[in-house]
Amino acid sequence: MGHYARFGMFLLKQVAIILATFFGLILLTFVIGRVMPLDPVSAAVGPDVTQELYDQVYREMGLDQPIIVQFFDYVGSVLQFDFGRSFFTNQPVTRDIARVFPATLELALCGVLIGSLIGIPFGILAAVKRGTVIDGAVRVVMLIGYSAPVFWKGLLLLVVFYAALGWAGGPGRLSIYYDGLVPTRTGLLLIDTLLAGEWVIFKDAVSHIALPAISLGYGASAYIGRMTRSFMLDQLKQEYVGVARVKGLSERRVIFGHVLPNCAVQLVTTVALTFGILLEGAVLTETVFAWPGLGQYMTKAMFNADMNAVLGGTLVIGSIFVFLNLGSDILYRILDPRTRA
Amino acid sequence: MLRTLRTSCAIAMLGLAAPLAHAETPDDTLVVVREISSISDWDPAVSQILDVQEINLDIYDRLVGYDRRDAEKLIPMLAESYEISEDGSSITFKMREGVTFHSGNPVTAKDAVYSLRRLLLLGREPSSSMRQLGYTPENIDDNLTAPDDMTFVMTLPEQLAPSLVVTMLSSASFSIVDSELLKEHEQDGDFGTAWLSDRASGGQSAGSGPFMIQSYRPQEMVMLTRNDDYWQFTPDMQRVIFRHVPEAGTQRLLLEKGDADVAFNLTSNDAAELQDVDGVKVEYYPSRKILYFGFNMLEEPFDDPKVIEAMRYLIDYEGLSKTIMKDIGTIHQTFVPAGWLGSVTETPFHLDVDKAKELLTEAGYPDGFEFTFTAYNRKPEMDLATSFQATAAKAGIKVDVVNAPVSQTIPLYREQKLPALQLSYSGGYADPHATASKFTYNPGALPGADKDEKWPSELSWRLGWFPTELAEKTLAASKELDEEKRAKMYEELQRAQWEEGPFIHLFQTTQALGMREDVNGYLFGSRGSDVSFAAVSKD
Repeated sequence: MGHYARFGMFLLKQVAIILATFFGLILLTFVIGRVMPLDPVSAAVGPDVTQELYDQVYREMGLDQPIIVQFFDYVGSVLQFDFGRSFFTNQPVTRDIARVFPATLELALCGVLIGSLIGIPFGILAAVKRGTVIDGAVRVVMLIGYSAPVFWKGLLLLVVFYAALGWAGGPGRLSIYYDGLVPTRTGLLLIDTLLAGEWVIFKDAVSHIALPAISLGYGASAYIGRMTRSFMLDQLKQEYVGVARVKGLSERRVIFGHVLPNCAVQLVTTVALTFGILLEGAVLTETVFAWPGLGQYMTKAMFNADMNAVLGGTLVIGSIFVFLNLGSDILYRILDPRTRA
Repeated sequence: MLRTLRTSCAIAMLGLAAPLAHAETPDDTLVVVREISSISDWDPAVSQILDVQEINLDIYDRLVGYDRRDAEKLIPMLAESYEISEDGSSITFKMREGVTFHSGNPVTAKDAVYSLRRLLLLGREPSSSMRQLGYTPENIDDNLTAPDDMTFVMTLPEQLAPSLVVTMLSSASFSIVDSELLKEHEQDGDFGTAWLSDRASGGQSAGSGPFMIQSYRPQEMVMLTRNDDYWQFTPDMQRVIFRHVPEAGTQRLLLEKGDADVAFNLTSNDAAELQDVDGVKVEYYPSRKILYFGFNMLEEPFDDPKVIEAMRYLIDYEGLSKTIMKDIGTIHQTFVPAGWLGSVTETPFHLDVDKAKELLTEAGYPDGFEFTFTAYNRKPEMDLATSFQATAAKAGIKVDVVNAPVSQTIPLYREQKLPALQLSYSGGYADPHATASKFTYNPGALPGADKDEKWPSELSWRLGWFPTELAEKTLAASKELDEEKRAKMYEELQRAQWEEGPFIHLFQTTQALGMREDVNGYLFGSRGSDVSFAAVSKD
């Protein structure tokens, strides 16, 4: 079988896995929605309505139908990207997600970028200087990043860099007076402001995203750094490293020319998974920084029995993970020739 | 090349990191930071959510209402004057000339008929006031009429105290909407509610108040702009922005920094500390929300009123008011908020474990018992439940606390399935009937009522309390024309609830408003319908 045929088979297999995963996800979210002891009717019309109105809405929601009918109705709607209406925001769930997701995506991208830019170099440094003071210092800093409560980190950053020093913008994505001045194209404010040629508002957006992104990025860097260090240490033990050194290659070429490329595959997976976790919505970071993203939206929905929003959001997050996994699998095959066999 | 790149990067970084000028909010803009995630529906005939009602009070006018510049005055609003017939069976409103809606349409008596009819026929939570007035889908058309464009006649199917009717009419539910505009947006006989509820799409407001909604992004922000043609006065603020900031600590930072003018959800600690911060002031207002415990009289041991009386002595009111409820509530042991007609403010109950034990022994439970207590899963409610758990244990009672969201509690409450619970209630309008009709009235208790009929929207029914005499007295109080006598009747009802009712009222909550020092004129009263930011100025 040729290389392309094998790649084709691989893709087909992946598509089959994705379809099965989606079906499982839909089934799971549906069952959770029905098993939870929550009342969508009260959530929609309020607690003190008359029994007649309650019954009418109960029927309108299709809750009087047999469970199997409800399931297939649900599958049918989901296939048309219709997750129903959120009782809480009174908007179609797809519209809600389209509104809140770009905020989370933008923050997660910045967070994972900061996390990688800090985590990978420091992970390499710690591995190369293993057992030295530098290694110890890097590991302590990483450990703090990993274990410090997100909430506390966020408030501390705000108190120091926003309230005391005034170096960064406050909570929210933009200063209030810039709100509504930039037309929404991608939903990513950093890009929309540049597209609109609004340099001042772009600067304001950067100053607002800086603190939550650093807060998230620091946590992410702790994980990425620890993993980088451990991947590097594994590779440094390998024989080829000794051979390279015996051949007289400089340490820099050994590390960056041989060891690091061999860690790339695992690093891609680590960074992709970290990105996926950040995309889920960093609930606490979003709360502290009043960041109107998916994490806040989903949490509110869950607390208020807004099952359409919860199910829609879960499917979106599930899809993100499925596609990130697929992406990293494909990258794996490209970067590591052994997986192509 | 590399050096140039490095220099450019350094300049760019410096540019971004340079201290940003944090100007105060503009003089003509009021920025309020608040937890506004519960806003979902802007239609005043649909939403019972306090956050919505408080904003809607400045988007819409009522026929009568509290003066936005003086909370003590209940004044005619869209009605220039009104006249109550001698027998109290009808009210004739003379509409104010020359007032227009935000759309430019004139406000007429037809809008008043449309608004009240719409309120009833939509049948959502706010419609309960219309039903209390005696209106039904069958009698509504005969009783609301507009003989001409400027005259609106409201015939009352139930004879009620005129003060009660007028106060009801001042509440957010009775907002007068732009009938022409809503008719244009009607779909399948929905009175335009789908259009009006969905402010995210933009469009015109259907009110005539001092502000209109310019833009709204759910769980993010609401921006209002001034109605320059407002009939009563022109507000100083050109824009009012409510920004959703869920975290109290973050609200405090924004206020201190001057990026917000008003912070709504401060913790008691933050509020106390802000008192000493330059440029910031904190004002405390009693709110109309009352926290209560309820015990299900259909279940043992709460079928014995002595047991419920014992519970009244197992709550550490004083201790709680100095700790958990410090600055966010005052001890209040009845259902009529302080400051309202007939409110009883004495507090006869206090923590007395011996007395509780005595009562429990008399009721046949000398060794106590165990029960499940469902509490709202947020602060301070959860802490109240935990404190109760500790004090009840002293009398040998084991309280299993379940913290749950309201959406999980309400269905069980509606089906009479909760043995005991903790919730809060806010009267919809500033008359004692608003709360008495919930706490001492059960339609299933009236003589001739079908005992098997379900009344799941009634709190007393949900706890299996059928007080025939009190239900009749509650109705009688709502019809009493003499205000003094009426006040006495409500006092009697509140004391009677202490004797035999399943409700224990604990605290009337307090709203702490953190404000920049230059903000004046924010109206926030316990009557619910006297909340306004229309007269705010910065000086």
